[in-house]
Amino acid sequence: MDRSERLGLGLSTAGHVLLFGALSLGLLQTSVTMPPRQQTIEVSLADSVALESRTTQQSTQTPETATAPEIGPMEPDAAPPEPAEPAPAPLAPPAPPVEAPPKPKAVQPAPPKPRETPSKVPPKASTKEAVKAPAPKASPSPKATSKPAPQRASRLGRDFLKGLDSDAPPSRNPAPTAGSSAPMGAVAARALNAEINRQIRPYWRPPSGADADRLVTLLSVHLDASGNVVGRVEVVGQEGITPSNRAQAALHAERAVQAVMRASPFRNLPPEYYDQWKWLKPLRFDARLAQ
Amino acid sequence: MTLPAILAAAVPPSGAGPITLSPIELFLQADIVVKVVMIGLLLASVWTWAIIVSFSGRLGKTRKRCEEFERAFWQAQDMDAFVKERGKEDQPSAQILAAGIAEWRRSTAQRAMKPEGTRDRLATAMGSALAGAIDKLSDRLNILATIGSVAPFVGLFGTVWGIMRSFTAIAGEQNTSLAVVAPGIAEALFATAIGLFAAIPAVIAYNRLSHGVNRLESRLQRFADGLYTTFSRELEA
Repeated sequence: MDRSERLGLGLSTAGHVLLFGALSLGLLQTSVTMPPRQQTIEVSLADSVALESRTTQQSTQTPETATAPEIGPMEPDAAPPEPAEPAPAPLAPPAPPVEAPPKPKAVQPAPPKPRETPSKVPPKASTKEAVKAPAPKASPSPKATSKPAPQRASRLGRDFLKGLDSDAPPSRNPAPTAGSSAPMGAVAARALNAEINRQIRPYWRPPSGADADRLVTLLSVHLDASGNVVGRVEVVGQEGITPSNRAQAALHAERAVQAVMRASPFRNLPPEYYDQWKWLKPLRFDARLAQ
Repeated sequence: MTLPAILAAAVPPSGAGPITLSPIELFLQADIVVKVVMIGLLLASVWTWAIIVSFSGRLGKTRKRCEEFERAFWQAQDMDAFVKERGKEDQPSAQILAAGIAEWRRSTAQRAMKPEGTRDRLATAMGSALAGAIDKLSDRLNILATIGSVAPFVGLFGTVWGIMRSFTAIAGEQNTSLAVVAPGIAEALFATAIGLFAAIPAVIAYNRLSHGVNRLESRLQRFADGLYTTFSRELEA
């Protein structure tokens, strides 16, 4: 190894180090921009299919919008507000303002109740207001003074507590009976979806390829009471078709139909919610289902 | 009615980081076999360029000195004085001249000298001096030839190994999307890239430098032929 060879070795080593340094630092780097991945969030873990709906606390009726009555001048003989009404007799209280002077008899049927109900009422403003405004001398009977009878018109609507009624009419939460059209809670619906997906998943083999995980096939499936597929499984629609996965779209739909046919009959579906699963539309097939 | 392991699918797929194609990244992600192949090829590339630099320098210097020596030799008035002055130089022309002169002296020192035998010996002595000088000069050329022919195969071996490995990994993952397949293949192909990176300069340099050596050899051959004719003329005188 003479001088010229050492010189050559040094030169070539330096050249290689320079070249790879330049490559590493990105002078000749090609930046690869990845397409944004689909966001897979919105996790809801449901352990079991609920047998009963849990939405009894909430009212299914749409609450009426509360319109505040005009704040009028002091009306000494204003009708007592809603919370003062005895609950069991809902029809009696809306007394027309014309026959405002409350007869003691009309109020009397349940004298102790009005005392209890104001404490239950959450919006304290109305009760405070009611307490602040002292009953004027015009109070018709000594019993009426103890009762919070606001003389002013309340800002709240008459039925602002409707949804919170503890003793709602029986039609709101029916006892779940087999085969009936039981309304489902959100948890139960998710659990039902999860159960259906769990039974389909072993048979669901989506096609692979560029952008194939963006394809979504929506099916419409009719089931009978024992979980068998009835009639034809129809493709309702497809989403996420891009130029690169267009060739896979038909295969995607076909595999989705196959998966449903092979997963049939579906077991363990709660019979009391048959109305919810007798027509699965749309039944969604996407890449997440396969994972 | 329990549903075990529902919505395990909700776990987002991992490994969706930014992809870079810098050589360091590709090297670090590769398999150990592919790493060894890459390091070997890189060393081969360094060696190739070292040989290219040193060899072309030496070849050019040798050719220049030979030209200068031959010009001076043919212009010299007194051959003995010239040989005594410059016969010990470390270059092919001087070695050929020295070998010829030594053989000439040895042959003419004999009492019963035969011109045919002396001519044969002169030719042999100068030819072997020339071959020795060329051998010494072209010592490293075979390395260039080896690297140029073998490096692509070594790189290909690294690539095949890396692709085999990444396909095995794909089979394990059961996910054949292009995003999973691509990085492994990219880092495997990097081995072939380095192999070609080393081989292409080696092949070009080998062809070019061996052509330079051949030209020098034919020039020296002509010088030796000139010497031989001179000696032969002297023998008949």
